Amino acid sequence: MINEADWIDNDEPALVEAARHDPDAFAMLYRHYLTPLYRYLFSRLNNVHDAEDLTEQIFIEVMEKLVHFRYQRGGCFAAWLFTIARRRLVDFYRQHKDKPLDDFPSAEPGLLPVIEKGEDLLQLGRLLTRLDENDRELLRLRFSAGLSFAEIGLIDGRSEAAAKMALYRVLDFLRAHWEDENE
Amino acid sequence: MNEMNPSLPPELESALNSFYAVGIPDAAFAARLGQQLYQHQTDLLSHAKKTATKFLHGRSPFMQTLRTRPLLAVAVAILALLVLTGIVYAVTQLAGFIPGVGFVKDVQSVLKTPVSIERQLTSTAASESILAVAPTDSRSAVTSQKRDVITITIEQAVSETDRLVIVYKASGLPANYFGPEHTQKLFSASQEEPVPDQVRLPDNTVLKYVSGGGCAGAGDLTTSWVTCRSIFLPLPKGVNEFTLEIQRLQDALPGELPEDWRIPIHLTQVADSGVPGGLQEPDLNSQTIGGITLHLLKVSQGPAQTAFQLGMEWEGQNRFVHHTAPFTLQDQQGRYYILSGGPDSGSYSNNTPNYSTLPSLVTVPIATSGPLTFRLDWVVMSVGGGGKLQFDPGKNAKLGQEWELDEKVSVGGFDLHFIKARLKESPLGPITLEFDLEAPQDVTEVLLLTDAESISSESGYDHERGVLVSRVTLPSLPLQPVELNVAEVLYKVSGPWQIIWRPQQTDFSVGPSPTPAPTRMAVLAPTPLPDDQPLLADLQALLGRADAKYPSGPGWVHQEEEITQTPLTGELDSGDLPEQPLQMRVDAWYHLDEDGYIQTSIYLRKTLDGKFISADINNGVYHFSLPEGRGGVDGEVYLEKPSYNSNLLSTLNGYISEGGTIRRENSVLNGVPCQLYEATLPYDPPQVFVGEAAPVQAMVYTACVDPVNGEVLQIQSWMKYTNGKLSGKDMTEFSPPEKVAVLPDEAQQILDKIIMP
Repeated sequence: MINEADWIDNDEPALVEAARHDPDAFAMLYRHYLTPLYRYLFSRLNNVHDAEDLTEQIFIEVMEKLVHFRYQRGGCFAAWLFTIARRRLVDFYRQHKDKPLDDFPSAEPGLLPVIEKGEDLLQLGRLLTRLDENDRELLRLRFSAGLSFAEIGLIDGRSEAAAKMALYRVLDFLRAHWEDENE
Repeated sequence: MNEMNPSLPPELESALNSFYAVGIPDAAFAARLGQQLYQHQTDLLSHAKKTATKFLHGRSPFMQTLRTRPLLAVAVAILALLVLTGIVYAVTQLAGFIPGVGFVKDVQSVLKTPVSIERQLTSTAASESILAVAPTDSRSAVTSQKRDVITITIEQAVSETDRLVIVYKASGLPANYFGPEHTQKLFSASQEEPVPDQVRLPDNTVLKYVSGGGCAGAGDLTTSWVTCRSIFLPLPKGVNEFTLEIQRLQDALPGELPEDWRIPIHLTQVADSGVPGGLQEPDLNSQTIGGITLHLLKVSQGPAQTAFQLGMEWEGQNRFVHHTAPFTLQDQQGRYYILSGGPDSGSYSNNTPNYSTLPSLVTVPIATSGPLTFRLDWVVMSVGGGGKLQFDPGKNAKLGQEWELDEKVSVGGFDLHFIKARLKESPLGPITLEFDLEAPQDVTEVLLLTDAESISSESGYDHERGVLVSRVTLPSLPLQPVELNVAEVLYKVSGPWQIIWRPQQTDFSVGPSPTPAPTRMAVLAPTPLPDDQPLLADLQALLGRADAKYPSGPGWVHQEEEITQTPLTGELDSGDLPEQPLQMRVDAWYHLDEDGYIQTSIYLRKTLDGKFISADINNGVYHFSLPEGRGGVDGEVYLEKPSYNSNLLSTLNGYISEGGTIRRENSVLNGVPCQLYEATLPYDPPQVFVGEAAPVQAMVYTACVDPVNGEVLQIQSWMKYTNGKLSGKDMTEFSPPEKVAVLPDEAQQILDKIIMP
């Protein structure tokens, strides 16, 4: 089976190029990235209203930047989109001092309803509290946003291999402690 | 995820996937935002379209993008100019609507005069570099610019009970600041996000920036500028002095431009500002057609402009306005006012799910008291999905295979009958799964998505086969049943909806003077040619011979072109634009000033047997298109001289700058000798373009030029495919321009349809 990330990398540039001038092409990008972006934001914000507000703000910014030629041709659209998303999240936390970024809760509060649904999820929730913010962000980018390692690498300023290794290190940690807890 | 570390315990893998899969956007939110983005982008592009498509009608915007790729670098500055909207040319304060700010309510205080602050481009220390902080005349503040000086001009500030809006313009930025090279630096640089603009009050408290504002950048060959509309939490009652703090200008890299701007602003109470009244709330409705009703909510008649706020109401659940035909406003004689988009975007609230306000519209001051008619011809609505379709291709599906279907799905009251499916190579992904549908006539698009693997979907009418088509792209050949969701059905509701509005008689002679026309500067120099391309230099000299003998201003000049385009393959039509023939004649009339710059241009397209197709009129910064009635203001545009050869030199230069090659040979066209210049731009790897029959490995552009007088006789362009075949050739043939003493009736009648500002 063709790797989805490779497929997007190979074919997306023409679509992004078209999206500069063609609302239908941008609508395709929107439809494709809406759920990953929203899911990522929701995992950070734990609030439907805030997640919708930021989703809207980010898509408008991305579209305007595309129209205004602020997107590097041949670049990685997903990495660009999520870079902007992370910047807007920083803005959000700066504007909402009650939710400071640096003091972001160690648990993933938006996921509590899910955690309550099962012992496995509870166990995972406990393990996640033992990860630092960088590692949790890695998991969000990979599992909530569905980004490829190459895209995560671009966002974090490291190579694809380094991103992959970092994630595998986190997964190794989770696996080791998962097994510990089950013993 | 597909690439999960395979050694994870299944329970952990499952827990991770469940844990991070939380959060699905609400369908109503998703549809509403999709519609908002579509409309917003359409508005942004509407100014650019008329120029970009001047000679390309009949091509989809997608196709234009792809075929004009080599011109991108050349076009950046021009397009950036065209999309700039909402510029304040003069700060004329109106109750109800303030240029650059939009409709306002409960205004407490406003800026009395613009304020400018200047700093040297190279300066870093704010305390040493402030050159001037002074109230200035608004026009000079906007237009004057010193070398190597960045100027920020506060063009407007409005304090309302629920927000503070500040509009400022930063000018004197480096040339091509918003072009691709700087953008590349911006996105490749690792930088900390700057603190958003903020307002500091005298007691040192800070007002937060809130969403809803934004910046629009533009530039030319010599400088760039950006206009920002920042929105903050409201000022405390009685506070009219504060400082705007801008840590870093839009899109600046750290240290690239002066930072940490602090601009003192003084507002004056509305009661002291001499603001004339003017907000009308006419509460007029159109008739209800197809469940849709148009409302005229607000009008502001001012000495500088007239602004309108409309709303739309519709029936049915889970439906949204996707996009509309352009709104028109006509007087009793049928003459059009040119409507352009105002600063307000439309707004929608979940509390009123069948109602939305629309982006504000702006036109010139209205002098007549006779009734005017708002008209909207059609609306495309979106209804959310819910329908599912199971498609079983069997175990040995192949590219090119076709299936007969008899699947019926009902979505939003529309019965969709899927009658055929086929697997094709895709321009947007490895595989396209394409369905033919029978659907009610008003359905224009049916958008499908699979749960996991589809990246995109498209839909529209395939004129070649006379059928509605829906496509979804898949990463590989399906080897098992595919479940498809009908994500969205678009359908067109035809009007016309009309509202008759009678303007109030207003005497503007006692108010502020009307807004002056924006400053327009001449394009300074032709695009410089590379030193290592002697053929381009030869061509430039040859074209110069023709330019020297072409008619100059003042007065009208006419040129005729005949255009032949090749049909595109598999292109889907969403039904928004009238059908265009593949062959047409374009009559262009340019009204030149004494220096030869275009003041007014008229492009009239007709079939080869003389039937009207469409027309574009450009008059200064205003433009208008018939028959749709789409118009607007281009913001600050540059005076230019006509090109009688479709900007041949720039086009070929664009090919070279993108990595192409050029050659020349002697040829003959219709028995007349000519020099044939041929530029080729290779694509490595080949590119798959929508509308082309096969992957493209090169794009070719040729021009046949009279070797004696330098006139361009014919231009052709085509694609070379990877299968060794060529696309059909697009061709333009030119007649020499001629001066005309009097504008002919057919052109004058077009001009007479528009109320020119």
